[in-house]
Amino acid sequence: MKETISSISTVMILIVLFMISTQIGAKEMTSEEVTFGRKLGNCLACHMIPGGSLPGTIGPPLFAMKERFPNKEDLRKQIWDATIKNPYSIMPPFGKHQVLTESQIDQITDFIYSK
Amino acid sequence: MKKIITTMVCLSFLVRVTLADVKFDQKAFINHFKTIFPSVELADYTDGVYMIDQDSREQFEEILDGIPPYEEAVEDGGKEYFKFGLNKCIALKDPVAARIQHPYFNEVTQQVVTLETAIKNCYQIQTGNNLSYNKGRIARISAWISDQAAGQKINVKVESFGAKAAYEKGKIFFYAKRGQFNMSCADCHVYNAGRKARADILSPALGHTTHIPMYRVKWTGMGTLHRRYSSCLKNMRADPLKAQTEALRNMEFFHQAMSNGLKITADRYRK
Ligand code: HEC
Ligand code: HEC
Repeated sequence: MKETISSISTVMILIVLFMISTQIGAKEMTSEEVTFGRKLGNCLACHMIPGGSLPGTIGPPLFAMKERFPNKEDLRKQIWDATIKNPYSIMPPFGKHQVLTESQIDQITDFIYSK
Repeated sequence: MKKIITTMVCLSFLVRVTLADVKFDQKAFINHFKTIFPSVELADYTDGVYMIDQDSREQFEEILDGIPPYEEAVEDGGKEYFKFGLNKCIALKDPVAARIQHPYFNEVTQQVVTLETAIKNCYQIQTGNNLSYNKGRIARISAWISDQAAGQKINVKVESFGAKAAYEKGKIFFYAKRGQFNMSCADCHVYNAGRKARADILSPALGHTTHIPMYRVKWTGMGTLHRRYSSCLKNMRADPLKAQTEALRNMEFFHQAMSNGLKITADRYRK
């Protein structure tokens, strides 16, 4: 009996620890990190973005986004699937091809929209 | 209905193949790059990104003036060529001719034969052993053979119906969007050549095959053209394909033909 209790409590402790660590993991990814990360948005590969270093020059610089996209949903759409506007776009269709998750795309949309 | 569609698709492919004309394609290719880089001489496309960027060009020239990091490996490739009896195969007996005559379309097998497939084939006949396609011995031997032809011009011949079909398939592969990133080779090396992807300047596809196998700092060694193909395919998150599969040999056929008339060079250094 004692043994079962101790093993249950060990399992509980492990679960709690696991939950804490994933929470921290999720919190660690800021919108900026998701946008700039080479394995994530990697938007700097092609776009100059204020605050980012070594930008590429394939796409237009991304700033004053509120003026260019009065409707934020349009900006999200551009990131989700650039081929809607330009079928030949070199920009990866981040949402349509599941390069990023929906919540990562939300994070990036917010981040870019603040520029 | 399905039949009609397949017939239409087949017909349109046939029309394209009968019209496939390397000279015409190449002229359009060269003109495109002339509009992007009006001051670059055609002959300078052999230098890849170094013809565009002055700063990295100086570094490139410095490295070539010293002892390039691949020099010893290429010399070893020459020793290996004789040691393993590659001079005994008709296809490789004359190294200058071997470099200039590959890739070519073999009418019997109806396949594109690249220099690396010829080397592997000969090596197998002479030694009974296998040779892997991407790096190491095959790259050293291929580089040594190509060095012998330095100064000669690339001259890929696309003449028969079968050759034109292979060329056309290679061209379609080069221009088609693929992979999770939905990109084509042409997206980077035609339409966006000269622009920067992060800190990397994108080289024009014109001249891409004049210095193969190339040395890459990132590889700390040499690699064959097909090794480079698979790195770019991986970067596009596309199926990297096996080196020397039919699709990649067809692409090489097209890719090399676009550099027809450009000089083969022994300056194989790249960042
Ligand atoms: C491989 C190149 C490439 C990458 C990577 C890329 N883009 Fe783009 N982007 C482009 C190009 C080129 C355009 C210009 C329009 C077109 O051709 O689709 C563009 C257009 C845009 C536009 C529209 C700009 C306007 O004013 O119309 C937005 C917004 C944008 N990109 C955001 C992003 C974000 C955010 C990311 C990263 C998650 C990203 N891009 C990654 C190449 C890229
Ligand atoms: C997202 C951009 C991108 C795409 C798409 C791409 N490449 Fe590249 N490629 C690069 C970069 C960056 C380099 C290194 C810099 C340079 O030489 O262009 C490179 C280098 C090369 C080189 C070596 C050039 C040299 O001078 O040694 C070859 C050959 C090449 N790519 C072929 C291809 C082929 C074929 C495809 C399609 C299967 C392809 N690339 C797709 C970005 C790309």
